[in-house]
Amino acid sequence: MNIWKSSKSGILMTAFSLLILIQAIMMEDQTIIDPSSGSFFPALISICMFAAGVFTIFQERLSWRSSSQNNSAEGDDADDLNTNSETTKTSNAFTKKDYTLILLYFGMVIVFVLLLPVISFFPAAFLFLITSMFYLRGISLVLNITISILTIIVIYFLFSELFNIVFP
Amino acid sequence: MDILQQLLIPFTDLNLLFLVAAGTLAGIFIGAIPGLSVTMAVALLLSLTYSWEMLPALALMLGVYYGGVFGGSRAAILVNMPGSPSSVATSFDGFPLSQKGEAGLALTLTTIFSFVGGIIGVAVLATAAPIVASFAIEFTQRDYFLLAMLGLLLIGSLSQGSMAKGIFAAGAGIILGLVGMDSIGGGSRFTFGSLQLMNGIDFITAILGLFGMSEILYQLKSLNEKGERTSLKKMAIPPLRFIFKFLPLSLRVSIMGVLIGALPGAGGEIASLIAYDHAKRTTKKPDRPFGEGAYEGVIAPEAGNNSAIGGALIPLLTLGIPGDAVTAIFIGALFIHGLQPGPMLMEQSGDLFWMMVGSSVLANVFLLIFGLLVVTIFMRVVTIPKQILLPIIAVITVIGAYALNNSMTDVYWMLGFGIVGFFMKVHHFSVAPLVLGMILGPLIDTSFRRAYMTANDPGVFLAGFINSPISLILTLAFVFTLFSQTKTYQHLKNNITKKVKKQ
Amino acid sequence: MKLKKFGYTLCVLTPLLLTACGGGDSSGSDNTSGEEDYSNYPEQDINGVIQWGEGGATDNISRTVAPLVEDELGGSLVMENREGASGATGAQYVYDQPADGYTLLFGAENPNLYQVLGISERDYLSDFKPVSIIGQSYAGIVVSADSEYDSLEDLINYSSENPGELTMGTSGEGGLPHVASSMLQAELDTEFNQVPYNGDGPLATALLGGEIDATVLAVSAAQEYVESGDFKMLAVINDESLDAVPEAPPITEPYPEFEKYLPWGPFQGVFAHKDTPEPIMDKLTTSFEAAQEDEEFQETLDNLGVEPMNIHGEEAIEFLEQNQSTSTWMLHDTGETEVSPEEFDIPRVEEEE
Repeated sequence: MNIWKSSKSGILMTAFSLLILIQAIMMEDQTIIDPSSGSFFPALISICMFAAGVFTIFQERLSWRSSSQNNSAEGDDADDLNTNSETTKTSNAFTKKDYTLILLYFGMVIVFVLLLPVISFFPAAFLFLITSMFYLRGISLVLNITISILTIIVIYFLFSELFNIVFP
Repeated sequence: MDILQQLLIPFTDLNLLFLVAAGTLAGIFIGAIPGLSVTMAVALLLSLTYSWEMLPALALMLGVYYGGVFGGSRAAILVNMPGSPSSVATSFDGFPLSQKGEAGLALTLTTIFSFVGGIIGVAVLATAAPIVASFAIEFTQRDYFLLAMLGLLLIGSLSQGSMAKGIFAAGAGIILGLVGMDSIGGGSRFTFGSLQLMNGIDFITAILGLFGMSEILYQLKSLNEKGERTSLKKMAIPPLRFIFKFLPLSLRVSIMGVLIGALPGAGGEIASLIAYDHAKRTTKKPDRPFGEGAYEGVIAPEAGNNSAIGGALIPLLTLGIPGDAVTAIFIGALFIHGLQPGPMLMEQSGDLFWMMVGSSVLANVFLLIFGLLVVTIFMRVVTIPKQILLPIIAVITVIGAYALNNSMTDVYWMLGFGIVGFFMKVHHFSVAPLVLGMILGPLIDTSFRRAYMTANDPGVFLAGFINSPISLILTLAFVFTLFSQTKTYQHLKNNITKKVKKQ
Repeated sequence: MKLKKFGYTLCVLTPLLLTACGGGDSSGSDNTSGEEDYSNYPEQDINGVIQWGEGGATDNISRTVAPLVEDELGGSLVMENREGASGATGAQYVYDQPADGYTLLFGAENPNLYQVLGISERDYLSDFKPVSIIGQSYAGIVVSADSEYDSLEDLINYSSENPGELTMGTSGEGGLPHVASSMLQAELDTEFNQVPYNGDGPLATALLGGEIDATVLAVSAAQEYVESGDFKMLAVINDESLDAVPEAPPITEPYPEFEKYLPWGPFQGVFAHKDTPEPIMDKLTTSFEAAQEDEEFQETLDNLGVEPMNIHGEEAIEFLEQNQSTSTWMLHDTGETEVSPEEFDIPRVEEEE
């Protein structure tokens, strides 16, 4: 019925644990029933995870029902059954604008990482620092560039000179 | 008299004094930067000091060791990015403290109690090394299994809200920790045929991603809101009563830290987790709830991981067995300088033992001095505008992940953990159990299987849990801790306290 | 701001930390014009991968030789341990890195057996080139000092009467204890309950704690504990006793039938990817050769109970072939391997001498 709506995370959890269980069963040269084999322990863990998932489904379902019946059903049990109130809380806290800002920034980090092997470390890091500080606003351009250069120099000394780490 | 003389060598020799000081200071900063590990630094020093005399080389390495373990907590407190696995536990309450504007106090307190822990570690090393060593080798695989399971019970304390979600996250962490080649059977697990995955997933990438990168993303939100800037309370010097108040706790966790540190298969990371757990269970009325900036929650893991250093030196100097990755490098150093680390080391070169004890005391003193001196420098980090701080931290997490094994794969993992961690935070899934699972998972898996294989029979295996005294104590501790988390226990306890009050 | 301060402090510390190394890597980067030009090698740090854990024989030898090689090579050699799966994790890692001479495998005898045991596809002879075989050592069967077995015969007799009751710590499939116990099984019909640990260090710990009944350790790793009276060495797997452990009898004394397996024992060597360019190989072999001539190093090897070999090139390949043939055919003959060494073109070496 409305199971998916009421307990998304619970269902995802059970699905994920089943996936692990299947992987554990399919492992080569291992037997699940033998505690000394490599797949026994992962299988056990996945069963625990499965149980946790099922439990969450019921819990979420319960809280979904009670909240749909009675919206002010909080109080003492709020700690245990607060999944639903959480979602409302987060939707209050994270607006679409926040998400775009955050995901765009994460995109910038990814571009930086992808650029690393192409244009080598220092130019990539420099570009990233400048653009991301510019993107986040509130910092004058002069300060921006000074800080970027300083950071790069410090990182160079630390990682490259002192620790002999070879950058891509 | 001889002993005293050898003990004082590092204090009287200016050269050694300077090396220990320099090592400690360098260690604090190296430890504070995520991705630069103490192990890396000490291994590097091993080669750099090859042509030196033995004592100066060891003095420098010891300084870096102490400083580095301590330094890891700086980043954990200030930016929620543990510099090393052994300071993961410090971030649970350290970062909330910093967000409440008490970064200075948190830094000062941890410095003082790291010193306390470190000194207790050295004291045990100096007075009871042979006893602790014989205890450490009695620790069987079954006991390692129980110890790791005890650590895993922390999930209960760490999962905010839903316990089921906490268990799930820890399970996922354990599975991630098991990815790669199976060190016992030889097969591969969860690698999906990928060669990259054969080498496993470095849990430091998980720490960098789940704590570092996800925190950056999470904090971007507050950029839009403005106004709410972390204020910095002036008080950085804790009142004297604080120190006396927390002394008993720090003594207890330090002793635990030494013992865990002395175990060849467990080190500072487990010591600090167990210490945090202990603090949470035994503190009846914390000033603030744990997880929201309890002082006990930063003191215990820091005292625990620093005392574990003294512990790790015990099997090294008495048996020639390393207590962790860093002391393993010390073994190499002893070999290179013509000594034979082994059970005969104490007899053949007792002066070395006392020199190490002396240098350790010295390193702790410098740790206290430098730790307090640089508090003001570190504290500034909190006041740096986020527009500047966040990009810089982002670059450091990327480099840090890369520097682990000089591989881009680790960077991709870090990014993956970062975005997963961000959404976990948004949906109020605690990320800590995941990291806990990754740290403890492999130990639980291998020790359980070895114990089972050694027993060679399910009956014998199960009987083992109550037959040996160490196992029995650990089993009881485990059962009790588990039971104390259930509702029945809470009810029972409440009933009893009520009855007692009525009477 | 934080970083600025880090930088200042570390700039002050840098000279101090670098005094010993002389800053060999300050130049470079500019003269990378021709790709075929290897004369500048090494231009960056060389990564030394040790396939066993910290504190074991391979680890000790590798970390001792590393700084000497650094002096010869004029670059840094950064050592790291990648243990697990009988050392296959480390071997695989080195194999996966580019064949540019910047990743070297510091290994023991195990990879010779990976193929027949199905642990990994990697193999010294087909996937790597030997840079240098540092030395060979001998293995000994050890029990804890308070063990009730005072001689090899006691242990063997008990084990063949009570199969599976005695626990033998191993270092995984293809490790020294595994091969040695299959040797014992083939000749003397013993059966041990084998439990794998991560190398010599953890094995010694387990034996000290009484968790395992017996194990086979390289003489180098066991010798300190034998001297201190913590371990008893029941026999060395050789045809005569060794100076390092004079009180341990050779295995051929009670059981002359082992003669045919000898000489057999662990060895330590340095390997590079098989596609490593010749000029780099030359530079590496000469550097390693010169480094091992250091007198102190010879002394260290002696202390460790290792017989110095310092061979490379064809000689090293011959040595590897001989060792591989002995071990693989022995495992096959005792029924430990399902596939025959013949499938991997490993010839059976005729018994020499």
